[in-house]
Amino acid sequence: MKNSNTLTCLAAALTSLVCLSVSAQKNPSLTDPEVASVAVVANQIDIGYAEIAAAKSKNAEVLKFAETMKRDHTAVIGQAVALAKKLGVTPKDNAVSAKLLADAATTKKALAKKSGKDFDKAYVDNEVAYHKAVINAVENLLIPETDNAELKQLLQNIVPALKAHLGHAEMIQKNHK
Amino acid sequence: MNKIQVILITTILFAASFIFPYIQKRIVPPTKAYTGRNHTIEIKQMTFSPANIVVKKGDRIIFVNHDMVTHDITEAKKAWSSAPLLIGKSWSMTVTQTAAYYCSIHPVMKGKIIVK
Repeated sequence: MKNSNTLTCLAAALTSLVCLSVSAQKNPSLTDPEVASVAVVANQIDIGYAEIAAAKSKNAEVLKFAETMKRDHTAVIGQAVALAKKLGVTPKDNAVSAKLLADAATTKKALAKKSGKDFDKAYVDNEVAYHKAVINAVENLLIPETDNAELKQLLQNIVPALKAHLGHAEMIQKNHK
Repeated sequence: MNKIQVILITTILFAASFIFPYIQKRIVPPTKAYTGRNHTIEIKQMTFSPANIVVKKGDRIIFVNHDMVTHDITEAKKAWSSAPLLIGKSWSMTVTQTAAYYCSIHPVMKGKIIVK
């Protein structure tokens, strides 16, 4: 039952991310400061998940993956903030970033209730699903919505890292079935 | 030229015939060993480029991290490894044998060094 609730929470959060992407494709509305905010928030959310894993997991493979997520997403945020500063763009909160944060809060609550192998599985499953959703959002929402060429290039450069994270998470997922 | 002088000169020439080749051998440097050439593997977009490289034993490979995140270079069976390679930094190694390698931080990133 608990597993079912967790999966429902994760599915709802990820569905909303995909829905935001689809609706934005129909009606583009994000400005560059808003795109920058979504990019930063999406990275911060995964750092938050990694910090939960670092605190709760005892599995070496999961801990190493969480460490990589924290390091990589922190590096990406650093580069996004540096570019925003260079361009004179101040990331602006918006409906998409607010929705991402609200959904992440739900997911974090679900993860917090887990422990041991159940936690490891839930964390890794969420990482697989979250990265799939974020890749979709970056490719189909953020990149098309971005006007500034340098910001667009930064987003395009992020995609291979997200795909490598997804591949890594899927490798670990096979060991936690 | 008296007898003593003849004996002295003959002795000197005789000794020189042994000493000169020895000195020559010591002065002339030995044939140079293969010093190898340099190859560069760029790390970008979460890939090693080129992923497969053919080199000679003794060649040097320089890995340069042009990516957005930190990487490392680790032999498939962990026989050798670089330290974490920060953005913009490089690391080099002299090739001794064929090896498969990967990034232990991002295990989906793989490459191969082939010695021919």
